[in-house]
Amino acid sequence: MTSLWSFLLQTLTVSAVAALLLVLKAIFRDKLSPRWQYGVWALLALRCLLPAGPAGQGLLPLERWVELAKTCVEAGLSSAYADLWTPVTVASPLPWLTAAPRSVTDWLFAVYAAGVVCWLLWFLIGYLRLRRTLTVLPEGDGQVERVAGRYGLPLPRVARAPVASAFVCGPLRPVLVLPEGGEVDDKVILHELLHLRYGDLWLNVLGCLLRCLHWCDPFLWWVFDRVGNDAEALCDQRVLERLEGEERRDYGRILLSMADDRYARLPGTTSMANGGRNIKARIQSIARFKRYPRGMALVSLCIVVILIPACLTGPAAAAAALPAVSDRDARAHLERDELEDALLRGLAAARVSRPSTVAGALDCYAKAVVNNNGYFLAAVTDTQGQRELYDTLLERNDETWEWGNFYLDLGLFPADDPGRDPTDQRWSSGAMPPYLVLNLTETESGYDAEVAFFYQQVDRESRPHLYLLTHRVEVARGEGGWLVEKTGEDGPAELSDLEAADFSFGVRYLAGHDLAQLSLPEQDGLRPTLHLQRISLFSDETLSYLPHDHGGMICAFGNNATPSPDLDARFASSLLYGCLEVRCPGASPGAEYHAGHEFNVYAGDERLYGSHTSGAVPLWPHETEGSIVAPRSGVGALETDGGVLADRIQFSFTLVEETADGERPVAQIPLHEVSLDLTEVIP
Amino acid sequence: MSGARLRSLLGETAWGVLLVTFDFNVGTLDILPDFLGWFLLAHAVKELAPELPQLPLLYPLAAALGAAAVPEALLQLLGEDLWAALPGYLSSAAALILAVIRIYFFFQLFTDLAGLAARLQPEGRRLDRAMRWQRNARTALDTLVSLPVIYPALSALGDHPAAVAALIVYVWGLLFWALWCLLSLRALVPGEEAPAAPDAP
Repeated sequence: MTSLWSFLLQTLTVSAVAALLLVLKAIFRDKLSPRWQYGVWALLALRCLLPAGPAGQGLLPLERWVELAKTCVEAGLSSAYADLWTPVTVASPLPWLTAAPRSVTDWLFAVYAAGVVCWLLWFLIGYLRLRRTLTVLPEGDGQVERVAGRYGLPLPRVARAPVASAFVCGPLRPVLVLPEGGEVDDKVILHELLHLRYGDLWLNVLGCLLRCLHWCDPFLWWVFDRVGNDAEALCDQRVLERLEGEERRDYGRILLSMADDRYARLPGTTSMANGGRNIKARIQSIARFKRYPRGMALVSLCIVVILIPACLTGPAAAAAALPAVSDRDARAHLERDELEDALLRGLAAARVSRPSTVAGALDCYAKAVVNNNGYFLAAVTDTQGQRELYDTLLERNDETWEWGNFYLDLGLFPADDPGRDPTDQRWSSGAMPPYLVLNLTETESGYDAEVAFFYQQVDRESRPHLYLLTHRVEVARGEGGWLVEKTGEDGPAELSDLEAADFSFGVRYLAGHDLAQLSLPEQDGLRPTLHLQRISLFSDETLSYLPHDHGGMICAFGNNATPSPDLDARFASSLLYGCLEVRCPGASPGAEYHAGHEFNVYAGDERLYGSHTSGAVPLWPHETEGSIVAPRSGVGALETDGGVLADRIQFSFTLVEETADGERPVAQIPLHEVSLDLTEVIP
Repeated sequence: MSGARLRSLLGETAWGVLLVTFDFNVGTLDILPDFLGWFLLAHAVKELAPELPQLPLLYPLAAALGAAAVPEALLQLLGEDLWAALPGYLSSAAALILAVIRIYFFFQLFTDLAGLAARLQPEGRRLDRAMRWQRNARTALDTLVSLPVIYPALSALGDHPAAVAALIVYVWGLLFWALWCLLSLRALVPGEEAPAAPDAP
């Protein structure tokens, strides 16, 4: 812990776990054994010793709350221990001052750290003073030897002191302290010897250390008291398991006689008396004493198994939500300084809402683009990038003050329409534009991918236009999640009427975005090439790939069921598909061509895809020097849902030129089969 | 407690186990609603107190599980998911608490019923052992099945065909095993003493 905020995060995380355990202990108070009641606190001890944050999201969205609080408070300060843009993390559960304090929050943390030292000294001095007053009996004590021998327990050194009740102290060289001049019941000695036998003194030392670390959290101090009480209740259980009949009732009476005694808790000591209210609870526990059947261990263990992730890492569903687009309305009437505060808070939320998966990061990035939402972009941008984003967002909002929107022009907004309100619904279809994740490939630092956006806009004459924009991105791990960086873009390019018509049926082929290409043998002057692309399908149910019987077409795409990103999105599958492109070098520029083809894809005996055009199909007007390209000659799946790749294709192609005298066949590839080894060409 | 009453309560318990274990949906309507099962179980564990004095300790647990199942069923009827409607951390915490209560409830229920079986079964019959084995299997598998519900990150496990097959075996196998145990125990309950035949004149 190196700042006030990391201490807050740590102590709140521990408190949340303690609260959960208290709820469960209340439910199972009279149902599960004292061993479980005490043992389950081990989860709290582990939580105290593990730094909050890196292991998971936490039981509550505490990281988000603390980050928001830090952002609000630190915005006007220049602290040495906390940086406005660096998310709050806990590197160690121990406090550490890294520099001289400069701000109020720095001084508060310094006071906290000094408090930890003071409490440690307080406990240490108290313990040493106690040990100094004790005089160990060199000859030992016959009664203690007899009890230890009878029950097979370790024999400690014994001291007599003017105390009301027996206790043990000193984990390294334990001393059993007995009241001076008074008779001590065997059962009291047995109780204290059992503390020694089971190492409760060491656990008591640990408890005191944790009290020091959380000295300014009264809730945790109360919880640590409860832990001590549970230790005593477990010791009672162990005593009762060694006693019979009337002895058990005597033990209850002894406890009752201690109801008015109370000892301050010191490290390395245990005391049977722990206050009237706790004694009452222990007597009630004795009244329902039973030897819990061995089978109870199973259910006790199973409950702990379920609790472990919750207490130590936190459920994944605790991911914080990013500010929604609808927040625009709320911001519309803010003053400038309020707007800056809102922006800082929004970015703070984004810093602690990192995507946990590659799919989540790409979904977040894509939705940042389609919504022009700076917060979404911030969630996949590193700390340095967020500083620049803050300046950009403020600058942009100076220009569009009346809309009060933290919007970014990320490429989709029409450049030729500057007077348009960017907060308007821009998508003429009324739905968010879909996007595709293309050609996701693993690299040394993470992943490369292309994100393709399709969107339709209506011009001033109400004519629809379909656009395609692609962003090349790198996805890499960093700052507690996955980050996305744009490395390039193509477009936006308006699609031709033919392309638009084709896209209206679904994704067919994105020219120029190949994962790999496979040149096929030239025939009759025609040069066929198989272009390969991979689309990563989200787990979102709106996505589907129609199987061969229904056309083998990707008919829906994009994780676009909701406008907010799914930070934990997963890719359910990926689909490799191919496009057979035929180049015709002898074609005349400007002439109109039609083509007919048959295209079948096989994996073993299974036909993955098949298409056949009996009539002539108009070609896309893709012309290069002295050649025309026929990219629609076949687009289909080259991979089954189970990941089996195609091993051969069958195709034919006929090119027809349209002349004033009618149609004239130019060239032809007869139906034939080509074997494929896609594993060699796919990266 | 009369034999007839005991048999009736054991039958109620069997119905409760069936309802809370198995869902049968017609559209958005669950015609085997969980809340009804929990309330039947709550009633049964309370009424079985004369035979099994520890069993009423389970009453508040069954009532709590039943109370949680009511809004779930109502929202399901409206096509909504209660757990999706709650904030993520709240639904996770609630799912966790309900999961551990459920696991403990069935463990203790079958522990106590196994004790009853041990009292009622004739020599040589080992119904109590069968009930304890069933209890242990249910507890272990309930724990495994609960983990992905509480921690969605583990839900990817559910995509695996082996996991789906195991789930089917789990639901059906344990249901039939539990029902067989309960109905066998019910059959062990002695009938009412037949009234003495009048002396022949």
